[in-house]
Amino acid sequence: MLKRTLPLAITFIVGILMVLDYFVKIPSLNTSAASIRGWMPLVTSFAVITGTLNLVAVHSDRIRHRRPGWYNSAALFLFLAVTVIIGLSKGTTAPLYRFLYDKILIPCGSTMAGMTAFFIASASYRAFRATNADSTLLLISAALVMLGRVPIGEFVSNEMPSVAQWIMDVPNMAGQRVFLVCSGIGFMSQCLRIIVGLNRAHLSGNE
Amino acid sequence: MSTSFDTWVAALITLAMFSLAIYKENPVYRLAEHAFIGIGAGHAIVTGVQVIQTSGINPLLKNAEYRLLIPMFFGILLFARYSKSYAYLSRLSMSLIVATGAGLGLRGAVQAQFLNQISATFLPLNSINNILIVVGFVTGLTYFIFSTRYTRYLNGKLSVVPRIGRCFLMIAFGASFGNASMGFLSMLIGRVLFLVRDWLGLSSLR
Repeated sequence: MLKRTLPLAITFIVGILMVLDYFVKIPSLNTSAASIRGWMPLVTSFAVITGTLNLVAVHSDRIRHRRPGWYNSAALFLFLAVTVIIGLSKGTTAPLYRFLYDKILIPCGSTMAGMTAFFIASASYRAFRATNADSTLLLISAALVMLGRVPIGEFVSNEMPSVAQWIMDVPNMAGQRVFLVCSGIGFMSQCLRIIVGLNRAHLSGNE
Repeated sequence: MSTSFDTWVAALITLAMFSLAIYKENPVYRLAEHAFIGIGAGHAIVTGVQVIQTSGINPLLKNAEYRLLIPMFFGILLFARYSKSYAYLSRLSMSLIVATGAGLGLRGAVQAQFLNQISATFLPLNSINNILIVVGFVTGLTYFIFSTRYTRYLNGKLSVVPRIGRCFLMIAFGASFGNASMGFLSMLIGRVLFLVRDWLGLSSLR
């Protein structure tokens, strides 16, 4: 009962409640749905802490068994501990916390995102080969959009930025809407499968 | 060159991350990567605890909002996964989170990804651009019809419809790729500019 039936019942009742809340105006139903929505930040905060504890468990295992790269896990623990201790004792506005956030976390994150440009460059080398009509279209539209977004594009032709904008606003928009509608249909069917209990991936494990 | 300790730390951590692209995965990169994960996870814990404190514990103790015991109970049940005997209890909380997400996602998708997109697409056919958007959308959708082989009708002449749609999809893929490339490139330029301007002090570019 507790292992399967009750979780499935919760999934069904809460899922249906959320959907009905949008289409039906019944004060008690709307209030219940609003309450559950309001609980979510609280419950997901516990989930975030649980996820972080999983990370701690994985890395403490690496340190305990002296697996290759265990000193990296030790560094992770050090930074994690300092961040948590400073954050909880002195708040997120403490100078050391701001230092960790602004001078390590943000530069690391933006450098990682920026480095994607290198990998995109190598991916485009493979993708942008005009071997057939489809890949030629892909190449031309990508090249025009990229040229239209940099000053050299305007140097090549004054019309380049407007051409890039036209591609973004007309054929790209039509294509993007197709993606949105098709992915929306897939997403809706997955949500329905979860609500009616056909997709039970979130209930797997922990037997 | 900068004399600020903060700028030096940010510059060295940036160089450590860049070392992956310049040279293969190396110890310096791994150390920086683990520091990033450690601080990120720590930040997640601090933010989580703050939310629990401000939205759960404080209203519960100060304003006697006992109904908040329900989400707190579901939240605490998540920790049951660390017990072999009671791990299944965490499924109750997972069900609540997933069901809320699925319910909100379903109703959000119906409106934002389906109805809004269709109503925004069917524009008056009074300009070339509007005609192109409608034609691109309809033919693009036909490319994803897998339930029937409709292209065999009219002696196979209908097969031109999904082919036109595929052209629009290719243009959209290319444009998205180009747009994303430029976005990532501008991030890269931002980091390089930080190194050149703020750390080395070699440029006055803004």
